[in-house]
Amino acid sequence: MQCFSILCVYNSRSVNEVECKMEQETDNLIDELRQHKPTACQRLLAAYGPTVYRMVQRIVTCREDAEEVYQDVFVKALRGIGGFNPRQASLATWLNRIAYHESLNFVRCKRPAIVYMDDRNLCTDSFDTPDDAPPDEQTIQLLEQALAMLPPHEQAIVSMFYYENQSLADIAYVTGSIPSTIGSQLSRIRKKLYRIIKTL
Amino acid sequence: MNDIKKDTNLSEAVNRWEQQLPPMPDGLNERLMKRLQETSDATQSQRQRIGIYSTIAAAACLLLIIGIGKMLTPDRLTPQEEIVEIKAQQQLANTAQETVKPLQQLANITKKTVKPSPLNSRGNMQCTHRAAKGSKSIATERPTRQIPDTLGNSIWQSEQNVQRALQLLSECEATIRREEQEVRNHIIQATFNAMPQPANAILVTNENGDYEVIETKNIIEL
Repeated sequence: MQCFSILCVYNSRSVNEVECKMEQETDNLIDELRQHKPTACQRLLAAYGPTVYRMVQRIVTCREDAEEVYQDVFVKALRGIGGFNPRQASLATWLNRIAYHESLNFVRCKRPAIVYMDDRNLCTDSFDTPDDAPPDEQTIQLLEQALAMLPPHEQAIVSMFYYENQSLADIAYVTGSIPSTIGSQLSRIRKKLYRIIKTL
Repeated sequence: MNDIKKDTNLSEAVNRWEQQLPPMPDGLNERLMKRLQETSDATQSQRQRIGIYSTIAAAACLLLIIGIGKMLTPDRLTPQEEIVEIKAQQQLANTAQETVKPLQQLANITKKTVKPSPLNSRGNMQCTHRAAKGSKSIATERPTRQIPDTLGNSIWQSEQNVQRALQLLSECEATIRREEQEVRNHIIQATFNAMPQPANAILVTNENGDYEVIETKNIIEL
């Protein structure tokens, strides 16, 4: 028992040290980016590029368009790095915020002829939430299909919450909303997904 | 919130859906770096261009201001004209100095000998002013401003100044000559009256207007 507690303390210390080191590295990276160092740009792209690209891709489905938006996001981020406040959010969250809004703007400008599933089209029957239901392969597949029918901003919120395990505060910062609104929005999206799979 | 998080089906569906997304292309970051470099180069060249244009604009503004300033100056004389003007002014000044000295001397003499004329003879300015103030018709007529007898300050009035000065000078000379004659006659008359004179002596005026004491014998002789 004593050995276990010592191990826990050791692990927590090592985790804290790693976190401190990462924070220091991020601070250095931000300082170098503010000084417009090319190596810092490369480090930024290597560290945060995949996350940003994923965020863009959730909203902008076309690959070429997603690449264009991805480039625009980093150009914008490097221009506005002077205005980044580390106390408000982490660098990754800040980049995700830019990517989210840039992608949505791009999609809105393009105005695609895609009709997303609206709440009004779904049946308004009483819906029993299968919260503690065991994993069901068929339901998962149906939900996967239903996810594709959601509007891009809702897809992004669901992905940030379930896939990236981001907090409601971070999602609210990315979307420019408040955490309680994001919570209710997630609940509504989930109910909507289950309604969609009933129609499939 | 915990209920939403506990939804394993949805969580699994989202995981699978995310994994279906294609990975990031390999050359994307290199292309982005290239674009960033191009953007920074373009920004630098743009800044340089802005700097050059602003310098040119500032120089143009300066030249424009200088040009306007030169255009607004009263006259633009050539150096030769300026020299002539200066010489004329110097001559005028010398002439004035030469004439002022005897005039001052004569003025001193007149002050001593001639009594000042009564106030009425100088013109009743107050009366005319009252008349102008009182009568309606005169009040509506605004008094015309007379050209002052002083010399003009401007350079382009130099010729007029010279002419005016010469005119004033001749007028002054005539006045002085007349007053001198009056003084001389007054002295002669006073001396004639005060001093005992011979019986045949009389006071006459010659062709120049001067008093002269002559004896009647001489007249006869003449």
